[in-house]
Amino acid sequence: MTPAKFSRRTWEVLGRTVALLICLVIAIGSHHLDVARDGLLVLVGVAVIASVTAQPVWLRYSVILGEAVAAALVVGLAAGPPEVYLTYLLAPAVAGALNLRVLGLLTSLGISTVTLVIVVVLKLNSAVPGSVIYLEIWLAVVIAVALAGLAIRYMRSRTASGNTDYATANRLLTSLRDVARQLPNGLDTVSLADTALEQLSQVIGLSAAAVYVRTDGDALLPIATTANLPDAWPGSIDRGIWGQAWDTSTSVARGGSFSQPGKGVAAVIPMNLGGRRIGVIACEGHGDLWTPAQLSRAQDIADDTALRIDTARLFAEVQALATAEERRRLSREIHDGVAQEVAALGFLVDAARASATDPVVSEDLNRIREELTRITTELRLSIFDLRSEMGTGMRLGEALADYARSVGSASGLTVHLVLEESPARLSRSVEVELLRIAQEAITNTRKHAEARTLWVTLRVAPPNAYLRVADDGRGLVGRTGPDHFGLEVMRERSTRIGAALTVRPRESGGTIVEATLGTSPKAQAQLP
Amino acid sequence: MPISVLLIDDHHLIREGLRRAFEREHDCHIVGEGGTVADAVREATVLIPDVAIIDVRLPDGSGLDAVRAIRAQHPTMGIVVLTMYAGDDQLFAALEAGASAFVPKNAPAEDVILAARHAAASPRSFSAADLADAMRRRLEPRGPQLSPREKEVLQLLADGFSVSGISKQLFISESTTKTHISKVYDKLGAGNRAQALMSALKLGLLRQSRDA
Repeated sequence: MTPAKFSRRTWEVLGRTVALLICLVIAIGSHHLDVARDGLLVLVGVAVIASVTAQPVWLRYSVILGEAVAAALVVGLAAGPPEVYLTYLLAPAVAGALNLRVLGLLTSLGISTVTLVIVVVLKLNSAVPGSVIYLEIWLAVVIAVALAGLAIRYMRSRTASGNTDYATANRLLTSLRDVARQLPNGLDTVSLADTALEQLSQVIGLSAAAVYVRTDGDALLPIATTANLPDAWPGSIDRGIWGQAWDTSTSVARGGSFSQPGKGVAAVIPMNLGGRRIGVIACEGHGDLWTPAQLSRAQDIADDTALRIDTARLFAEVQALATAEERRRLSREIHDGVAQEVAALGFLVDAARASATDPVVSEDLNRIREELTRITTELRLSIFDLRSEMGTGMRLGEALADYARSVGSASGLTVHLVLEESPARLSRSVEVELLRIAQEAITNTRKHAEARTLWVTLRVAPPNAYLRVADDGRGLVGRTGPDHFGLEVMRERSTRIGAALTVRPRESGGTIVEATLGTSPKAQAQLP
Repeated sequence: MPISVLLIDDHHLIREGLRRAFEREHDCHIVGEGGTVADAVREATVLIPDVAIIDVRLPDGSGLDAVRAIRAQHPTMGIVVLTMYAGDDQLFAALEAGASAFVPKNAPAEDVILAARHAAASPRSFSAADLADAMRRRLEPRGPQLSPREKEVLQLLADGFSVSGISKQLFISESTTKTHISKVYDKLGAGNRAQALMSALKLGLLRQSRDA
């Protein structure tokens, strides 16, 4: 039993006890105890029944309302003056408020009042007018309590909006920071998924497995597979045992594996997080069908992984937001600052050039103008790089093609694009990193390679991807200094998404930069 | 009569550089300057210059908004868009806003002056150094690129041929045909024939049936 449940029931019982005690004191004080004894006993009975009912929830609520009716009947009908019992009417109101807040309070008060009014009206016919005054007192109490309840609710809702949100966000972000620093696997979805596959293969015997997360379009995106499974099986949440596992939120196993339906066994284990499913783990094995106990252990691992992966995805989103904002800020800064100044300097040199009469000065000014144009062009392209983002709904291939074509043409490079993307997509953070790696490689070619042709190849079959940027320039020979920075950045980005980066000379001259995510023979086949 | 020019840029060094360059030309003179969208719209209406030169990024909004507002009121005023931003999108946005010319800020002042002369002479046309290339790039197909063989296979799929039918038509083995088909599906992001044909139709990759 959680502490919260305990305290609520305690309060309920306490409320009823106090109400009964007050009734008793009033009865004794007004010397009506002997007349009112039966009525008080009935109230004690009602209080006991209402206090012992805990489950199910609907029954608990009904009992409170029943208590309100019963108490009102006692007030109206029992022998002895009504003021003896009147206080008890507040007990179901308190219980209602504890269980259903203002709604429970108002319902309970309303029901007892209506019952009381009916009883009093019926009794008026039998001519006992004395009880009307107690009805009036009760109505006044009801109105006061109801107003107090509503006032509390209103004040809660006001304070809840502003600071509470920030307090919650602050608490969450602080723990997020601590978590990101301390977690053994960090917050990287792929390594978390790999860990899950390892755990799973230890708990239940399997020959191959893959972890999928659900994307916005309700597709299943594979993010990790076991080593012997180069391409994940195509799964869909509206098909076969995939759909069954998805709809029921429980693991489903069958005879016949995904790759060879005639042989082996297969299972789909949904990754549940609260009421949501964030993805599935699919696995197949050679042996007998897994036992329910094994599947249940697998389910535990999947649910555990769901929480981790979802947290990692949230973290990645927060990071992406921060990075995107920083890039925008940087682009604004360059645009409004140094870029304008250099461009303005160019215009001033143009004016000086036009009025220069000395051929030597003219020559110098022309050279300065050339340099300034080069620098301004660089700055424009830097701003373009910083501003080029993956538009929402844009595929990686489109973004890459737009970028390569714009930059290629601005620097006189002939661009050849080969794009092969499967319908399934990589996760957004991976797509963004791949785009940035390509941008860096293309920028290197543009700045240093003195190339005429640029080949950009992208093959995507999640969780695998292959990116290749090649040129026919002067190659890596003698390239030092600033180049290293570009390579460094590309390596950092590759490491971040778990891709392997190679930079090597092209056989017939030039450089090839390759980033490989996963190990798919399909991704690398048939390259020019 | 010299061409009257209104200069709108929030960087005064840029305005100074361009003013000096324009002052050397006998056929142009700067009649007004400003640094905001509001300046641009107001001065254009008050001064009625022959040409307004407007930067894209201004502190109170996009220079393209100023271009649209001025174009709506003065259909024959020359408008030159000047920008530090690179990329074809910028050029086409200027064209669509109603500009008469587009000049990147890395161009020499001579280019700005030439653009201003052009804008004054034919305000309703559009000139930009990179226009032809940008048009060509925009017209290039952006969708999936099928090899000639894959195009043939796709066409035969659309004509209703089975796998064996296609392999007989093209004199290739059934397994090769299947490879081509799965490549076509991959490139079109389709899972079956119907989906492949639907996206091929949308992308304009299919001719109408040859018999029809």
